[in-house]
Amino acid sequence: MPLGLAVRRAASLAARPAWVRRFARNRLGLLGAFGIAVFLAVGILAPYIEPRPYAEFDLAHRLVGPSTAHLLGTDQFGRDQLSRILYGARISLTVALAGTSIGTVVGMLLGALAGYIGGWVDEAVMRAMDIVLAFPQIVLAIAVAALLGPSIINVIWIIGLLIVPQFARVTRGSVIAVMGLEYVTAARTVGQHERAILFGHVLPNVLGPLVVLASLTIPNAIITEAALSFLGVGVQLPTPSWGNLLSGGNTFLLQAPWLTIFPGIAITLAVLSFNVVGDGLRDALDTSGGHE
Amino acid sequence: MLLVPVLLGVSIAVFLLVHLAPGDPVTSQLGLYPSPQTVARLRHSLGLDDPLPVQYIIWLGRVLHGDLGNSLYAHAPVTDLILQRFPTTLALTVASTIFALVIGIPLGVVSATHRDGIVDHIGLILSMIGVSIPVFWLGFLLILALAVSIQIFPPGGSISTYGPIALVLPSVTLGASFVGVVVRFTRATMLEVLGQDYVRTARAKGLSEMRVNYEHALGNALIPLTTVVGLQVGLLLSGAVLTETVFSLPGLGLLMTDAVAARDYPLILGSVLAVAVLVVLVNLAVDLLYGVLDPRIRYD
Amino acid sequence: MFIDRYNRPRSSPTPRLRRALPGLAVAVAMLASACGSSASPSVNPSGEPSTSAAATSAGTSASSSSAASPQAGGSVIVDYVGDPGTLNPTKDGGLSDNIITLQIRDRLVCPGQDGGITPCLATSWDTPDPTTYIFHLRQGVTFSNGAPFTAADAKYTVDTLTLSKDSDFYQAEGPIEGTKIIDDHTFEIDLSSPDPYFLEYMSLDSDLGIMPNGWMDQCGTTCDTTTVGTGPFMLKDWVKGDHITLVRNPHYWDQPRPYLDTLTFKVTPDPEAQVLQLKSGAADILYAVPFKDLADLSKTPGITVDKHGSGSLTEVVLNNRVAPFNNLQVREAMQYAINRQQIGEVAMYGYFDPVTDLLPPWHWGHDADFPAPAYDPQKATQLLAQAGYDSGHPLSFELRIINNQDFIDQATLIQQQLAQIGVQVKVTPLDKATFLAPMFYTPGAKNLSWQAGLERFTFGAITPSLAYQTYDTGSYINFCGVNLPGGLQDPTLQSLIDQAKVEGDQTKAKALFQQISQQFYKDALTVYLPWQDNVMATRDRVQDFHVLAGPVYPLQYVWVNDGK
Repeated sequence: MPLGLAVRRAASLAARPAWVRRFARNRLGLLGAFGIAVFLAVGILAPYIEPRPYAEFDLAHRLVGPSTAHLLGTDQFGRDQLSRILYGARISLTVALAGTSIGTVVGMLLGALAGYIGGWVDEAVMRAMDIVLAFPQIVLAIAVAALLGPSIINVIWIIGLLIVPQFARVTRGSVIAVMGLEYVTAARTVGQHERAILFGHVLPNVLGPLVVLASLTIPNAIITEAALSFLGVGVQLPTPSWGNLLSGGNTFLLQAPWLTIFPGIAITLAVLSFNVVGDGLRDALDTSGGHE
Repeated sequence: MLLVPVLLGVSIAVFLLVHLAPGDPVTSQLGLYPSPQTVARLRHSLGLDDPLPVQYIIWLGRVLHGDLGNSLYAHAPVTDLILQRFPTTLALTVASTIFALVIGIPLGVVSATHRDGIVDHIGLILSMIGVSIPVFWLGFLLILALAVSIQIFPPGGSISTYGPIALVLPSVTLGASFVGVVVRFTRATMLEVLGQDYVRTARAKGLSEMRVNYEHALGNALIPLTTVVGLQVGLLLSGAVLTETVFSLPGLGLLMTDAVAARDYPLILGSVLAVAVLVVLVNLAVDLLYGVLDPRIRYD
Repeated sequence: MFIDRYNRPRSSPTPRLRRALPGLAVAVAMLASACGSSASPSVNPSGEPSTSAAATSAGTSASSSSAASPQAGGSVIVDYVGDPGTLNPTKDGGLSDNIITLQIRDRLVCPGQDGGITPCLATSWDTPDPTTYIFHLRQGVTFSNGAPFTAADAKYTVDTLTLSKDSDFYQAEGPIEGTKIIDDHTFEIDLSSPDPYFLEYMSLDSDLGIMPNGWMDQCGTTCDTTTVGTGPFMLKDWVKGDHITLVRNPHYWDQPRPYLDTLTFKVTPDPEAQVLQLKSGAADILYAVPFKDLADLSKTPGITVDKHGSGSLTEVVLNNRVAPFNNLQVREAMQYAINRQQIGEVAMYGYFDPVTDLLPPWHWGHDADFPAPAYDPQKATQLLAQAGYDSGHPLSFELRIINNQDFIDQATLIQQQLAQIGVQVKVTPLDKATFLAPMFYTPGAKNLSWQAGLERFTFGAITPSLAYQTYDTGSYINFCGVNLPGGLQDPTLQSLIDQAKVEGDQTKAKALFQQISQQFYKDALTVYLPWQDNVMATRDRVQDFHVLAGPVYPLQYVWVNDGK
């Protein structure tokens, strides 16, 4: 997703009551929402629906292709890949959702501070965001991972860090826009408390764009997790995440291509679901654009 | 000028990150098990036993004189290494951008002019899939299909080994996610432009549909597209790191990941700084270009 | 700049072990490599590996030898994982330094097929007393730049490399005290103390390749990127991170060799990509082939796979300074609980040799019947119970590994095997720098922040001291910490090691090795996983690529047969 574009779009909208109705008319979006529901259900129910325990070895059936015994084949230890992918949904989605939540909250607070207080605070916060944005994301992630060490928690922090700037920018822009509106000015003149204005008037009005941005960020977070694991700085063993399934699997590209193909399909489908929903939400919330 | 504080910030951040991470260039040298005395001697000769702020200021002083220092592992000036790798990454990003534009713009235009038609729907779905596929996974699929099953392209390797053909699969891989962006953006802006007065006027004057679509409408839609392309540079460079890893393509991305692994401090600092400068400059250029292309925008 | 060598102070010769780091690309590990050679540390697959050993064990040598006689001309492409940091003779270029310099600079003596020493630039040598070596140099040899080779060049090289503090190899190549030119073609090296393995280091370490007298003053700004020698090939061009091209040295002394006009070393960091390139014909020789690809490659027409002596093994290093491994019973339990055979079959795809004593199977000091602990989970459970661990109070520890597929696979198996007896293992993959940071022995450092790690060692053929040098107090790669402050104290072990270092008699040395092995198992210091085979692959057009000519061997014997 073009983040810059999303940011711009997202920034320009405000929540409308009719958005739910509009989203409900978007068949692709609904399909995506269904997909998300399925993936979330898989993630939650993984321990109950996995055909075999995801860590169980079956050394007599190593690197066996898809069959009725193992629908998606087995890995180098004879572990059932379907079970691992189902279980991986739990890890990958948790990491993506948690990372996005952290990034959203932190970005929102920083952006709100910058936009609301203005002056040097604004300047300092936004320059800090520029610094993060000037890094090639992956390299920043690798460097931070080297510093923190590999673990699920650290991957979550890294994903959060990478997305903070976008959220800070959008929030700041929206806050500044809302602050100029008459009712906020009015609230100020009648002497309402600053915090009440910020939380009572300003933030509720910027939530719409943030929801859209968050929905478009989650798929990126899923891909980032996979990329970090692919580069060897992601989720640890023996926990299967889609990323480390793919990174472990691609070393067997020649012998067992299914180990590369299926985790990738899982990632792509999940990312696709989130993307179409994010898109649908954006369109549903957006009345200014010329497209639907 | 905001460039300077941002770059200073980037350099301080990288400096702290790499120095605070466990391990140092001495112990991370390939396979060596240096004695404590040797380590101490080396650390001293590399200036690693100075306090961090002192090390940073010394480094900064050199950079201001145009000297990025020497790579600790490759024993060569960092500047040379960057310049040696840069053409590959440049070629990769340019080729993938061209790929994205060549496929994406016509698809976007047709989608817009035949709104809700079959092409529009297919284009929409394809572009959605394009932005959803992980870059490195697409790379593996392409290798499987076009380098292993049917051996048309090299499975990975440098331009100097295979010639420009080495860039084909990597560029398609990196460009794929970008295609989706271009399609959707072109379509959206085309729809906006097509609804505007001057296009209606052009139509009313009896200009052919082709000319209206491509000369007038597309011409105007290209302006915002420039921005999108520019804003993608940062993302493309990140994608290049992954693409270069998948295809063993020796560019800046591989240089940076290798440098981090070897804790080659000067090389990490130099290459990240170079990329940051590139990203910042391209963004600046996009802003300026936007001003030139669209006379309504002026920078004072 | 970077000194990768470890010093060998004259007073206490340190181990001359070269351990290949695990983490290095898979490849390295698989390279046969060598530690043996001097103290040069580099990871190098460097040293020319176990040559002799390799040859002996594997028996065969030529990869695809045909009856046809060698033809001159043609070119060969070798894929390897990364290029040297530098070609500067006084600096350690790391991983691939020796692979390249070996083709360009000749040593005085070379390793022979039978594990002995063979003449190279020295045609013969005398040792009038155990600390004096007199080399009679080959006459009529010229460097690739046309200059004649004399004793002055030999002296200059040895002095510059081992006696100058500016060199990475300062005091690292044996107890060299001084050098003398006796006449133009006679050269003497004096040692400060007898060293039974001195000539072996000389033959194994390609870092000691001879450069022209005064070269370091002449090379100027190109010291790191060029090098000149009397070897079969000379450097044509080098694009860092991409390839190095060598061309035939017309002045080479052993005519009609080399046969090849061009020899290209191509950097391909990813082992998968290497395999694909070999299959597609984009590469002719792979120095390191991932085990999992071997079954497929050996069935591929047009490709020959060669297995030769196993020179590396992975050790589960147990830090005996901290709980739980400061407890002998826990360490013993690990010896019985880890199923080495399964690891060899699953993670090494059957390309392994079982561990008995501490020496590699091809080694003259090796005892194939040495009684090593066999897999016995019940005994392990008993030992753990004695140590106070049971299902109510399970043993758990962190196993740190370097993040590559080999280690991940081995660690996953260990994790699963130990889980069967109720031991919980947390596997933490790290990048190499992070992995190593807390493990090095530094005086004063406590090294208490880790419990266990997987570490790969690669041993050269000749130096027998290797296998136990990891447990020498003088070695800072003594990761398990035996006889170090805070670690297990076993003076008997140290005394045996000290004797073995200087024992020149093979029978006596072999007896010492056995005693060391006994002591090792008595203390249950660490757990050895199986010896891994070194496997290389070539396209069939490559002729006379001797296994003896392992990863870092001169390629002057190789020629190509394209069916013409």
